[in-house]
Amino acid sequence: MNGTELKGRAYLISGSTRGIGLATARWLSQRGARVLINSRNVPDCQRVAEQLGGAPIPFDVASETALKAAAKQIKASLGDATLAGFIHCAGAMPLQPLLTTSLQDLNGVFARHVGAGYALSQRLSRMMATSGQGSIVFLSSIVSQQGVCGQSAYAISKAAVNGMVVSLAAELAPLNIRVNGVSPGLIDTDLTAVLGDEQRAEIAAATLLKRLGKPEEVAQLIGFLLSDQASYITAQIIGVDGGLRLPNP
Amino acid sequence: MSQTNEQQRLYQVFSDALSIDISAVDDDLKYNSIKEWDSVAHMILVAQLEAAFDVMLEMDDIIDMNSVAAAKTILSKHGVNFYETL
Repeated sequence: MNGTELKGRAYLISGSTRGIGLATARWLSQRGARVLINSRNVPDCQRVAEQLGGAPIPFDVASETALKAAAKQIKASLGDATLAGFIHCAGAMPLQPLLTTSLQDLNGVFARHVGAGYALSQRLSRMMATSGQGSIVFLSSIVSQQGVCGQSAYAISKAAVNGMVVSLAAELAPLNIRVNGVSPGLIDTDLTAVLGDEQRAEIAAATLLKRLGKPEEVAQLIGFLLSDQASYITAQIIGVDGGLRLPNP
Repeated sequence: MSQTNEQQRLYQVFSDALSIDISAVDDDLKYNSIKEWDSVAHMILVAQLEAAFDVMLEMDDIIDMNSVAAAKTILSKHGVNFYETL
């Protein structure tokens, strides 16, 4: 991939102080893009932004009030770059079975994955519209299609993300804004560490490649979808799961 | 009261965003009253208004912006002055 093609472009990466979000911010920064780093944790946000030469945009994506204020900060942080896209990585993965998941819990997960992604799209697609192109990538999950025991709120919200990808892709296509999703399997991050070593080993054994994925391997796919090399790709949910969805031979 | 530069700028943004002649733009022009002002053009319009007047519109503003006159009212709320008083 041409290393200079992202120069002059800015991307907001929600949830970019760790895991897949951080790996994506690094990937973009290494290719000359201006990265707008987001997290609820202000010191983490500032530290990562400083490391990558980007701008810290600390706010809680699940708060509409915070998002309103952040949108102005995003606009002010672009500098000479144009907002070329955003990646919605911020999320939570509660391990709660059906009977102990309250509706408040369910709504909280939806707010973070779906509501925040929708609200970011409403605000940031307008900024992209003026430059005549843009690319949005949502983080889905393999469990959005396969389901999972004990994480139904997470799986349901990620299924809703898939619906959001295809619907927004249709709505934003006339503005030359592409919308795609990536659907990771089990990736070795802080978020999945809560599963415990035994369960992680079982899942790794169930993949065709017999290992967990690395955040960088998801970031490479996200980066490709953001780039001009993916200029004819929209409304897709693409798996990056080491073959976890196939029956193990 | 007389027409200001801001009003001329507003009409120009509508003309550009909707791809219509500027002579077709007046305060009575309404959303969906012409084929050019559809939901896609509305999004372009909002983006161009925000860029031209350096404002960030709220969702309520966007929902309420169903005519040129409404756009003036909303932008006035954000500090844009469309009228000179004698």
